[in-house]
Amino acid sequence: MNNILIITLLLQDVAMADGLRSSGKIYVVLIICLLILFSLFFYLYRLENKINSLKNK
Amino acid sequence: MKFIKFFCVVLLTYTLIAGFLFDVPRLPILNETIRALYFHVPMWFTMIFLLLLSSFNSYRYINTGKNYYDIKSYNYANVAVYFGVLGLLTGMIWAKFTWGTFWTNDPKLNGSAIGMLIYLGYFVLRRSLKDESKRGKISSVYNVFAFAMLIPLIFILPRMADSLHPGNGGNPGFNVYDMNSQLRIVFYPAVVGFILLGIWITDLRLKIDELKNKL
Repeated sequence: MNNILIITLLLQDVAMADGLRSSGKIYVVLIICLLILFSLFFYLYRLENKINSLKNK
Repeated sequence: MKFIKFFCVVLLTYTLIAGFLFDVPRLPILNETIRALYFHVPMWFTMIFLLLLSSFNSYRYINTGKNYYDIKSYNYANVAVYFGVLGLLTGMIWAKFTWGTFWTNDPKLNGSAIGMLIYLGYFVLRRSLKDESKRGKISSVYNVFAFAMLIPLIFILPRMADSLHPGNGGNPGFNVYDMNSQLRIVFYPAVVGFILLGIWITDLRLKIDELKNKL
């Protein structure tokens, strides 16, 4: 019974963001998130440099 | 450390690109939110891994009595709880749009919340003791015990009860219905990437504490 329920659910047309992808807008989101990630890495890197320079004093 | 940073940057960049663009299973209700798996679940994996390191360092402190291990275990726990809070918040947002509510009295959710509170208790305990060796001993024993409490709260008790959360309610962790190979090729690198990020941040905190010790 459970399996039949799952199969009927899977056979339904599931709404996914196909339109978003075909119009290319998902890449905008990706670029924004990558910018956040890289700025975070850069921040950590700068912080580490600051700590290391303090350590060398 | 250089390798850790390098792989952290590479894996998390891959996680974001693949996580947004690769194909995912088409499931009702979940829709595109299935991609949150790549970001929500690694938060918890990172927390558990860092807490494991934390309790291991507490164990070493109890054995050796070297203050260095106590500081290490404190910093690991601190970063771990930060990831845990992120895990709770991301889970709440995900739950709002799939289960319809931010919070339900689900054993998995309550268990993880209690686990967080146990670790907040650890920080309060540390702050309340001024004497270094006393603080080290008491908080180390507490920390080892806290990890032993966390495992049943997050992994065992939710599996013995019915739960909305995937991977619970009598099922083993990630079975064929929860995860397929499409998800795995992004999910596992994501877990490793976030764990390495946690280690990186902890390393920075440890360097600051080292400097404080010298002053």
